[in-house]
Amino acid sequence: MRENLKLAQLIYQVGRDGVPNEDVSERIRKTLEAEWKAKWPPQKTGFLRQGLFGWLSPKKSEWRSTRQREKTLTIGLALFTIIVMVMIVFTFPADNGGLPGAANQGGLFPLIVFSLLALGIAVWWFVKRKR
Amino acid sequence: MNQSNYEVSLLIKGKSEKSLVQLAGEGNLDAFTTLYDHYLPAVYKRVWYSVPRQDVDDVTQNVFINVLKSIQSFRGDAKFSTWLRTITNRQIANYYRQGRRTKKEIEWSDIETKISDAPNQLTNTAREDEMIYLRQGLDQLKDDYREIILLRFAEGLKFVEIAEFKGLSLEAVKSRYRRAISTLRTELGDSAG
Repeated sequence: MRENLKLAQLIYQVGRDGVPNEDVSERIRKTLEAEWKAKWPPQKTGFLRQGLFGWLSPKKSEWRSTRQREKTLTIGLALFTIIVMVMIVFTFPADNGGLPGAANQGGLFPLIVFSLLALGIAVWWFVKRKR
Repeated sequence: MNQSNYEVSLLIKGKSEKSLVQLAGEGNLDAFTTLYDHYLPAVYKRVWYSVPRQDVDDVTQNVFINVLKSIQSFRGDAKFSTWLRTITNRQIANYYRQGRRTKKEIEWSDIETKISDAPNQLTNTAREDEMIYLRQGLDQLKDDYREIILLRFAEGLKFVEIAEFKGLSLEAVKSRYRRAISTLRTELGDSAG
């Protein structure tokens, strides 16, 4: 029993030297910061790049975050709604379900343009989020 | 060491460990650095007990680089401290695997470095001899025994904390600890002879 206690004391004493000094701690920290910057390069600034586009096209890893998913889906849904509203205004005459507006002409051309726009955004979003 | 570095529900700089890990996973460097500052001593000491002194810094650094690279994939199913411990053990195993050298060969290079570097540091030399001797003994132990000794001494966990972490009763942990120390004593006796 006493021998076991002596051994435990030896293990403890030997371990007392196993403390990183400030130089070591700082050196590892700098290496980690460099690795971090390589992994997460500084974000592009500006509302469109960082805000709107950032929320709409999260990285695959960011998609795992519930908060990020909520942001993306909210902004996506809002944009989708706006596009549909604009399509209705421009595409359908007021007496046929469209809203009364300046360009209330109706016709196939605006429908095609806005459908392509919506499709383009969807494809762009899908491709970007695979990064 | 009275306070455990692997405290379960700890608050680090006023934030919960879980939120720090989540923030770090989302690319927040400050959160990662806070985790690093908190866990460095425990990781360093575990590595200290396991690899030769001249390589402790590098292996510790590799542990944290590994954490940095994979923190996004940490889903929080296990505790962060458990995950970190697994990464540390894996890096220690990699250290011996990559060098393709046995632990005994490495201990010899350790002794040679020590003799050539510091002929007048007798006190340090005695301590390092004990360290090498002890490391060899620990290496001979079963994983369960080595782990309980490392949890107790490298991480400073109390028996109650070890019991909680391992999902064992307090008596079982104490009993395993006693057997581990006795076995280590036998191993050290054998290697000395």
